[in-house]
Amino acid sequence: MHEQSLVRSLLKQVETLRCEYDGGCVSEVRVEKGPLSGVESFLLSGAFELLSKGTAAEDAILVIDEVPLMAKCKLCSRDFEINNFVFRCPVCSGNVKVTRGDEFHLISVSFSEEPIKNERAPGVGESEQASIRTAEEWDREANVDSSADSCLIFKRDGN
Amino acid sequence: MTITRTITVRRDVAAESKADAGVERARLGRRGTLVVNLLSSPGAGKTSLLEATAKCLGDERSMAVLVGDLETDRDAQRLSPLVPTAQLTTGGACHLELPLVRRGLQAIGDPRVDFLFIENVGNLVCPASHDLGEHLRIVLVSTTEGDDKPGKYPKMFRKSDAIVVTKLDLLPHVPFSVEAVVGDARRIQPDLDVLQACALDGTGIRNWCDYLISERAKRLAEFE
Repeated sequence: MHEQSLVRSLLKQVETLRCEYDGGCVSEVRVEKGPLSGVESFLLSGAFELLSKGTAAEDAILVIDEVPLMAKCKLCSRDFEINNFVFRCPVCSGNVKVTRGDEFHLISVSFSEEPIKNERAPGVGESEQASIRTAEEWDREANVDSSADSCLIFKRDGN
Repeated sequence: MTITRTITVRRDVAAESKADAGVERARLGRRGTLVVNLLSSPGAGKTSLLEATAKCLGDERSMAVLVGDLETDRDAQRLSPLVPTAQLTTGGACHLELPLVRRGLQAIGDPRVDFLFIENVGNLVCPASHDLGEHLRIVLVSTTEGDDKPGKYPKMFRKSDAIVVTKLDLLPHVPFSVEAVVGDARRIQPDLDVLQACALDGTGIRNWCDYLISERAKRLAEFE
């Protein structure tokens, strides 16, 4: 139940990003979850498979990175990993502040796209021309891996 | 040839609902209402504690209750003769979420009260993950359910401000150690306040009410 409502939020955010960045098909969704997030990986994967059907993320792989539960001692400032849910400093027994491990974050979304040659196709309309961006523009705007062939341009996926 | 383009964002998936809960917390805090989220296993005595609280606090402070259950309005029937109450029926869902809480609040006219109690669905798992805009989160542990619960449900105890040990009158008859349950809970949340109460004979109820009054003053100060 809880995982399903989180996956709904997740898919909404993926779709927002797809629109924002004119992305194509979603090939991978990467999330990060900690032991205090209350999210169970098996249930999360099942909910993603079920709820992504009919969306642009239908064929996407959900990658779940599990992060450790980390804390900082409020007394001696030591950083350490919490084991067995004991929230006390192992050195001075001080109370702690959790610094990592209660999050459920969307980390990245990957889109797979068909590139087209850097030539204007005959008969391309104005609206379509306006939507064409260079790879450098994509790189700049979207923090894209710049190893992508920069002589290619991407055609906007209007779907 | 297919090109893969990756957009890196690092966003809290629940950011929207957390922000929404923050808005509600501030709205109610500014007008002097302390929102108390009451959590426990089924049958730990949340409704009985609220009945006793209403009787003890009713003359000096105003309060309202939103009570969540999967089905029936039995709890609301018990509480409504004492305080304005709305029953939130989840229809199978194992926890309350903010939109349902807002609907309940509207149903009783969004009253300007000193305390708004939200009696959550009896469950030590899912309710721990849902911020309802509360200022104070209280978990009840009854003497009949065993003293080993905190370690089994760590998130619930980690995310709570206080624990109330209930059904104290049964202590002589059950294998339950208050010391053990408090030790286990404070291993997970060293800052937990601990209270003890028996709704049937009134033990600890005045102390619990005084705690609520003092927490209200302390926690609402930041919204003034």
